[in-house]
Amino acid sequence: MFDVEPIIADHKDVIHDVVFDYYGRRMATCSSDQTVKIWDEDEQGKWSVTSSWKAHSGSIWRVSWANPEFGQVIATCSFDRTASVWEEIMGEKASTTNAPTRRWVRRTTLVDSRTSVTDVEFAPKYLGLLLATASADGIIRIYEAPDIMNLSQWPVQHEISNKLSLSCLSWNTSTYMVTQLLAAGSDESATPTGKVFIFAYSENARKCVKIETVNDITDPVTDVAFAPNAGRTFHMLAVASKDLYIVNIRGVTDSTGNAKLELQTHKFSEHNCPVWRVCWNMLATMLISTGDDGCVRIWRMNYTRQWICAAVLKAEGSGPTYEPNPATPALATTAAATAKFYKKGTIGNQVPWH
Amino acid sequence: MPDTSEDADPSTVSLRICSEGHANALALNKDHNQIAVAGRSLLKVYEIESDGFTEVCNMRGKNQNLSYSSNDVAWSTLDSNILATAATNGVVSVWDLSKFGRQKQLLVYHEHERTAHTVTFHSTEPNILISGSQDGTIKCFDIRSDTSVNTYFSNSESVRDLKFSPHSPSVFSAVSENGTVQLWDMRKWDKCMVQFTAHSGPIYTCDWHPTRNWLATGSRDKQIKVWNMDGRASLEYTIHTIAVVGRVKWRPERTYHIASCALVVDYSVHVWDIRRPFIPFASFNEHTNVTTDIAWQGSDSHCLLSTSKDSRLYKHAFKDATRPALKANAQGASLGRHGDISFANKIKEYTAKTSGVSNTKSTNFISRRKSNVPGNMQFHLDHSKMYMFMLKNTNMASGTEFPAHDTTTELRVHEVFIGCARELQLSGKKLAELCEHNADVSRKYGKHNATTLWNFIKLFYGTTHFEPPFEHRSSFSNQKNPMSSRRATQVASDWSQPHEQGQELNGNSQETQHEAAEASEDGDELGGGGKQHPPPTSSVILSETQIISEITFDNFELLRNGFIYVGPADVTKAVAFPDTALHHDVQAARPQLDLKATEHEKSPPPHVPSILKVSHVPPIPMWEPHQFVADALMLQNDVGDVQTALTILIVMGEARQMLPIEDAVVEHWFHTYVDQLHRYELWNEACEVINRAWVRSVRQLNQHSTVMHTNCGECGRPLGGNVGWYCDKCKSMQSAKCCVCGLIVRGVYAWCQGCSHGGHIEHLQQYFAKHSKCPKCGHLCAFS
Repeated sequence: MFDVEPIIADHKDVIHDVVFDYYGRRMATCSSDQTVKIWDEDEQGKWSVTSSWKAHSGSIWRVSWANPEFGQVIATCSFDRTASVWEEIMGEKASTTNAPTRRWVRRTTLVDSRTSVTDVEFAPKYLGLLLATASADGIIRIYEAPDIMNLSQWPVQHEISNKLSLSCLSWNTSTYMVTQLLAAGSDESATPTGKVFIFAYSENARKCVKIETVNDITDPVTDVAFAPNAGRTFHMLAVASKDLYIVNIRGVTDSTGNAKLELQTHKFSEHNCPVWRVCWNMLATMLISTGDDGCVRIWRMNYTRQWICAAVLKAEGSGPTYEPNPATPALATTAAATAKFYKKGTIGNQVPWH
Repeated sequence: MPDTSEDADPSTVSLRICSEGHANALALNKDHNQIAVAGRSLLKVYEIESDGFTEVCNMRGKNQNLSYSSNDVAWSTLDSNILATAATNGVVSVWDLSKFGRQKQLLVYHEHERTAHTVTFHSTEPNILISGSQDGTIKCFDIRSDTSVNTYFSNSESVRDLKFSPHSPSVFSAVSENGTVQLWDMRKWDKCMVQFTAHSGPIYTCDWHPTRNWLATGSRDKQIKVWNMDGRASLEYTIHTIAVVGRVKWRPERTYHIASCALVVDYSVHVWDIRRPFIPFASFNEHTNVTTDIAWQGSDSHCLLSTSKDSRLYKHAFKDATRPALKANAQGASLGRHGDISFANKIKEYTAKTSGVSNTKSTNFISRRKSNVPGNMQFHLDHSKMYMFMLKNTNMASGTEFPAHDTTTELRVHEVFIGCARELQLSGKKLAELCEHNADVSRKYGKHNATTLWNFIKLFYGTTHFEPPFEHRSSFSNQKNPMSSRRATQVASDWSQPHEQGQELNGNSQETQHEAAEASEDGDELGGGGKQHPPPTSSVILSETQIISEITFDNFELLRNGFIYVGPADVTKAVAFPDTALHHDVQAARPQLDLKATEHEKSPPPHVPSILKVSHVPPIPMWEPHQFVADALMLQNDVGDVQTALTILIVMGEARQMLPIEDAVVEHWFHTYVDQLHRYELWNEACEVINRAWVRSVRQLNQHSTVMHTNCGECGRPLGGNVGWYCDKCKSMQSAKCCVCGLIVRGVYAWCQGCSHGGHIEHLQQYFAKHSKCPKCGHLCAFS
């Protein structure tokens, strides 16, 4: 069961992103109130804000942690058309008893975009210190810090233009049969075309190019997330759109020796409302998706390689005043905690393994 | 005003107003059906129609003096034929549209010494207009006179904007580049009524609220501020925009809405709700260059006109505006290391459906995603609530059994992962026993499929009756890496059990004969092992692993004791060393351990899981299980359990070569599992897996980015990298010698970091058992 604890975030506007760091020991939140907050967990498991600062002059859409090997570094992107890289530095030790003061300093501001920068994400470690941004005018930019000790230099390595405005992107951390895979989603609602694109580095063209469009997903996409590397021989991309989708991507080499991708899209309509967010756990064994009605669904894979909704969580009072969707199973009427939790069925044990 | 009216509005239309140059300003006549645009060599009047613009008048011609650029244009509030422009050369001109040709330019006031920024007509006196200039003065003109009637000295370097108050006709506001706002009464030209500093940077624009006594100011500091001008000016609202604010205009019929455009960077026109100062309520993104001026079409709150440096004139229909807040992600969610979910959710506030007109004019912010929204969403009340869903703790640390069939069991994947990572045994016993143990661990953590798999492995590969070579192999894996398993015991203190050491000793004593046997049995394997032949170098691989693991263990212990220990830099070279001898040397140096272990050797292992005992010897299978097992491992891996798949491969030892699994896949598994262990900060477990790897790229993981600096033990100088232990300064190989026995050390060299002296590890251990000072220099090395 879950304990639910409301957290007083003290953001003065809508929170757009919540991200744990690589080890899950720190958390960053960003909001339309133009501030970023860094949270740390104490011994009792309580989260508290240890840093908070005004980072942009517009809504901050996303925040991303760099691999800890590069230090305590985050990137933010904003409606103000910029993305910034921030690093935490240790201040002078105040006294022998007090811990040294920490503060976040802006290392660079990336001002190439002429429209809102909708997503930013650090590349997996094996690629070095790379940063990808997506913007509302459909351009993906990949920046690289050639010297990891100097976070103020971020020359643009690749610039990929798309016809549709982009809302989200995700790097693939797994390298099995493919390298440098990047997915992006568009929230364009006007055209009934595929809304998820997959990019890869092309050795021939010596640049990043679009190699696939997921044509099965034509509704506006709000979030995409590649599953972390879990040793699978295929790659999984979760897509939040009108419904939840999981796209299995397999890198194959065809008869002529060319590498290409095989895509397989699975649709999950259980939310019955638009899906805003998707997030994997570190082991890629669990996926959560959040619906517009405030429900969080937890998905697990069973032994027939199907994803099954294992639980639905709803924080009380988070939903609008309208009645719950009749298709949603009735929620527990009495709950001591502030949250309601109900079980959607059991998976795993009952299913024979072969 | 009913929101449905906007649907009836005509759509956005635009017109290219000139081929060269652009409009700097626009103004609407009193009936709001004509628009004047002014710019460089440009002054035109258009009729505003539902589907576009029609040119009414062009005041550029041979006769007209338009060789300068207009900064502002104003239309008389009472007479539809009277226009005024303010020019960059300081000239303020009054135009009469009813006249012809040259006559149109009614008056030319050349009084400002520098650029005139703004001009505006009095709201009730048809003949009065005022202008503000870069020279810091405000001049009042009466069009019946050809000179100014009044001059107001603002005492600032530049007056950027002037606006008459709609609340008291003789009062106007003036904003200047030094960040101050002044209120003037027209009748008192000697001194302003009110003056205050509003911004830290130049103020470029101001606008009076149509109904409230509010003044909005826009500045280079990217902020729009709303001042309550009752009595002393007080700040009511601050809006943070993304660029230098060029113009602001209150939206008619919406108390809290204000439109703005920027001087640089941002080409869009934004409409803000001042109660939500961070994100625009609506945006018009049509312009392709900086927007120079904006105006609402009279009292029509759904029609906005704008001019831009892209030389276009736009009439924007409000329904075509983008709503940035709607596109914004309303939720954030992240899964933590302990299965905790932190979740931020936008709370939407609605007006009650029945309340009709609320006192705060409700905005028509209807989500395009939902049609059955009750009431209107309250844009300005949007906020988020954040929750942490925390998986209840099952207290695995206290050693209790993993709760079976609990709802949350299947969600506690991290606990299962960490627990299995710590408790699964990779070596140190017979294959069958390892399988039994690991099956037990898997069951403890509710991984029943993994349990079954382990039992299968035990059945097919762990018995002595299945394929003769495996007999050898099972005992083989038994004695493989004894040190590491002991190390693991120390690390995972909760399952340190004495019988393991007994096993170990057992393995050690048999080791030599096994290795000898192995070499001779390689041939048998080739014959009997099936299609997948183990490479003839298998014994070498074993030795390698052995050495690495020993080194790691000793390294680990010695590091703790203040010694650093250097093994062969390149593991492949280590194979050349007499490994078994070295191995036994190390064993000899630790007799107390072995003695202790011997005592327990005969006592049965206390934790034999009776359920898992295979009570009878299974018949020899008539089919080869390799493909089947490989498929099972692949499935296990596909469902996200690389841990079990890889651990089985490791435990199977050489038998894994039978399995038709590609090397690339195995390599991928290794890297994945090591990554996952690192992510859960299980460094020791990761190290053990790396040491046990047979894939070269994995084995090298621990050597990445590790540099060890060595100093000469004689002179203390750093040793050159290329010449090994030869010191350039001393011209000797002294450093390579053991300081106890005086012989050159082959293989393992341990030394004190304090004095740089050392030698054979076993000699040092013997020496420091009796002494505490360095045998060479008397340094207190404190080897304990």
